Amino acid sequence: MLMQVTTGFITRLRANDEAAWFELWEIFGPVIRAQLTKWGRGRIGVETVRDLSQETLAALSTSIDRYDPARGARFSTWLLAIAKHVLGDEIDRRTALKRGGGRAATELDETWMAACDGRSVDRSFEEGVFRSKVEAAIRLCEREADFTDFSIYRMRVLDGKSGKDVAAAMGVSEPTVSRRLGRVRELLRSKLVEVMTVYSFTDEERAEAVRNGLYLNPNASPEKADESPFDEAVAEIYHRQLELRRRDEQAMRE
Amino acid sequence: MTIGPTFLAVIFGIVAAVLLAVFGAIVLVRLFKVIGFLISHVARFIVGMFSDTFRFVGALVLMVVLAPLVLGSVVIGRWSAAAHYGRAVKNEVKTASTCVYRVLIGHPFRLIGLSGVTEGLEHRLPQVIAEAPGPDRPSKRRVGMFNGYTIVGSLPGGGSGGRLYIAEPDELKRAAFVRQGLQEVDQVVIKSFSLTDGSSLPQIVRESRALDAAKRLGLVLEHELAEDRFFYVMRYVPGESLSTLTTRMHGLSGGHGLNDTHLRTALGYMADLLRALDTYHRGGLWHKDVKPDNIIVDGKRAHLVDFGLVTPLRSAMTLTTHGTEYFRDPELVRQALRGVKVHQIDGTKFDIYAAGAVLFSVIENSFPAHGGLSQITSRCPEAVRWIVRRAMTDYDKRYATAAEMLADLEAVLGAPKLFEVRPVDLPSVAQHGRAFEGERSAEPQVVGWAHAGSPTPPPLPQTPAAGSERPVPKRLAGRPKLKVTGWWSGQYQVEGEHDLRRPSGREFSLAGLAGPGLFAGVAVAKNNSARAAKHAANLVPSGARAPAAEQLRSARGRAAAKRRAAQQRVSSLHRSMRGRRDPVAINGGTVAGAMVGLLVFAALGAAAVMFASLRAEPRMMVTSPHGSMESWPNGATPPLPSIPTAPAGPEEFRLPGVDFKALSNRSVLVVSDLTPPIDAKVADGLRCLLGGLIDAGGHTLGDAALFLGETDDADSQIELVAELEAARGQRPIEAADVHTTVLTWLKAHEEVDAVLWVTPTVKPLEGVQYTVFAQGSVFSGSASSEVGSIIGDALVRATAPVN
Repeated sequence: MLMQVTTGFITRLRANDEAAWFELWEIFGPVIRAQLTKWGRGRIGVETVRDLSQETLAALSTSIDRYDPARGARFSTWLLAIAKHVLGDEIDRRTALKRGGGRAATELDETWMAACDGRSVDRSFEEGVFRSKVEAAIRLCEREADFTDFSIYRMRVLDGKSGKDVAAAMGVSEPTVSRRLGRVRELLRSKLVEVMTVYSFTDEERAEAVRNGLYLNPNASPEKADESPFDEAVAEIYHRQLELRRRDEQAMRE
Repeated sequence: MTIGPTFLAVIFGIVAAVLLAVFGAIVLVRLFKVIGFLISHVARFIVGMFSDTFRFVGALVLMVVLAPLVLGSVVIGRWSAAAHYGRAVKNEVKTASTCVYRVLIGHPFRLIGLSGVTEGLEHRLPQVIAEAPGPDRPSKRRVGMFNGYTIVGSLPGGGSGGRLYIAEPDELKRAAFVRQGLQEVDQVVIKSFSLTDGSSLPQIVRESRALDAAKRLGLVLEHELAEDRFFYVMRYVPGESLSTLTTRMHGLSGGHGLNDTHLRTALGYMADLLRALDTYHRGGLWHKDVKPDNIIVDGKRAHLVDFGLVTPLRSAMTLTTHGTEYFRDPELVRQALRGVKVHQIDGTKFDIYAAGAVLFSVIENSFPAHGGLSQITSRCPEAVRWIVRRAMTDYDKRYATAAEMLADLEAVLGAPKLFEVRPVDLPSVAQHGRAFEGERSAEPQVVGWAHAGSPTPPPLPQTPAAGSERPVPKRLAGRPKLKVTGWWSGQYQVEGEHDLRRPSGREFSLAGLAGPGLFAGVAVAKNNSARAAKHAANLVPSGARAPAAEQLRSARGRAAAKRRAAQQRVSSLHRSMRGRRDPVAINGGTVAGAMVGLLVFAALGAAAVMFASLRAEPRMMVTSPHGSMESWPNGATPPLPSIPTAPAGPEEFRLPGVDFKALSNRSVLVVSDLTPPIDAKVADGLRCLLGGLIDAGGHTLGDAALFLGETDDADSQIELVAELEAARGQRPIEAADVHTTVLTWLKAHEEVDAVLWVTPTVKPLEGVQYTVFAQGSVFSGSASSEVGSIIGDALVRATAPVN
């Protein structure tokens, strides 16, 4: 079932469904840009990073037909390999241009697809990809939840206000706040499952949520009655993504 | 046991030694840190000097390589390639200059700790230079290019590719503006697009398309579209942009968010913006490019400017992704990628999102990089945070109108202490508060179609100036049209009244346009803001129609001016033929230029003729199913039909198993979410079904025209489809609340018996999903073959009489 949904998304990408591509760009664009900036520090500017991140997705579109999920590669590894290839190609092209000659584009090295075997290629990048997935789930949750419910969740969990303050701001009782928080939490869990399924290709990748304190099944949590670890994990990831986006936006302004 | 002095001395000695060691370690660590810092500082300096020197050399080498390419391209006439290489050289020059600056100034200053003096100078200076306005006056050859206006200055051009001039209208123009009801137009902005100035045809088309819409709101004073250029005239509003003002206010507030005074001022500007947006939306327009740079503050009020992207809300054009990142809702991009038409979405919602993003940027002094999830970290009342969230939330949940958002903002502004207003105190929350504690009502609220930019918007609020004492006339209404029949003699003819005089359900009152938001898009002098407010109120005074005598005088004046101009041209030509020099006559340089131009033109023409004779261009012939034949030049792609072509005759409208008699006298509104390319089976099936329905005496409405090719009463059909699309929002068609909404809509529209909504299946080009709404029931399913029969059967069952 899980793999069916995953391959469904790949099918959409293969069919050149523009909405699927936009979705991919929106979710993983910042993390790809951050990685390219890290690698190309001092050598490429902000505009080039933007261009290369788009080229990464363009390269993804041409290599997607050759992608085989059954070989066990992580989604993050896939993206990383393509981004690395695109950047290397750009650096080679520049070097060749400075020499005054042309150069044929290199072939995409696809050995990573089997050789990686689920091991970490770049830890910070993988964490970034994971956080992007959680962010996508929060966004989906915002889209589907009742506006007031999600606003309460946002004030309480993401902005870190006390339950009492939230209740006072909304003119409701604290139990009402708790009830509405519970609804959003439940929806967020289901969206996390959905997103993790779509963008994760391996079991190890799917287990990433639990490793980061996001128990998608509340009964599986060591503290069954206490939802605060889940909320704290979500809030932490949300703020780290905020910081990533803020840096991305600041780079563009500079 | 006694403790001897020796023991104490030893203890003290140890403690002192330990303390000394700790102190020494701390000092040493600090010292090492300082030494490390100095070493790294110097190393950075050396590395920076070397890398910039190498970069400079690299840039020089590349310039040397590229320069011959530029020259070569110019010589062989490859202008595009020459421009491309020229840009590359320009970039290398910029890189080399930056390197020189860093080597000579930047790095040495940084080395001696004066980095603050030069920080970011290499970025700021070029930016300031790039943003500087162009020449204050157009070049000599362009003087007089805008008849009736004297150019007095210029403004930096925006992203639309047009040139902006500040101009003063002459007396005749002023009189013309007065006749239009526009008093005291002292200065105007002329936005000009010319093919000779580098504008492209798509830019000209895009801007001119928005023009009609903007003119309806009185934002454009005049326009002209010629073969090679297009320009329009609007009022001039000097001032500074909201983004500049925001940065300054944050600086004055201490850098931790706006203080109370500045916060209140900023919220006041936001209220101005929302009033302007409300005016646009009620006038049936979508601004589409709301951002701080497009909001000009004249000292007292904020004005929304730049209507290059203004679009009618009910436009049948395909939605585009134009707009500015961070202020454009990502949902707009998604919808544009789906290929939806403008009327199928509610554009007001996207303006509201942008208004929320502007409010965010004003409070936070940065862009909402995280979209609707962006967090406000600066000092801000909780109620304002709520307003931002509500404006930037999901399409279906955000404010339905700008007026609703304005009401919330005004509630905050009306409070003596901004920070004491809670979200629950806002009108929009209080309005829904009754359902807040309990569960929501089972029946969903029908959203949006009563307003949302409908061509027949709700009545506009009367402004005091519009007055209750006398009715406000429609602009141009009742104004006889004078047609000058002889420019030499000054003869004229009075024609019938202007078309707009005829009352129509689609007219919108301009009374509301006299509201405070009207001049948002145009200009008012900084020191004239009070006067501008008066203008706004008096935009369409009851005496807008000039007396007949004045109109006569004006028409005669125009005729006399034309006559004088013609006589001047003739006499100037005579003088030049007699060899007398005249300041405006053709001079020697012009003649030489014209001769050179003629020679080049002749050479190019000869080359083109030779080339054409050598290469007889084969053409691609395509035979259509109708038997007609079309051809395209080789190399050009023939246009793909978005919908498969129709069968030839009515006999084709045969669908076995569909009882068309049961559908006689039924009117079916078709709403299609299908985007090209459409599966041929689906298109044929729907065409046969709808054609058969018409043959049986039924009626089809809405998107049926997409399949049948009929466009009768297209406006009202778009209106019906737009109403339903707005009501549905972005919710899936299978959602229960969408069913309730559509059925409620159907009850309110007796002229429609059934709604057939077709949507794409998950896998593209594999059938269609359909939903039929009629008589309180819903039939839905999907079909990939025998589409017409299956959907026809559903239609018959849904519309069958209920006993």
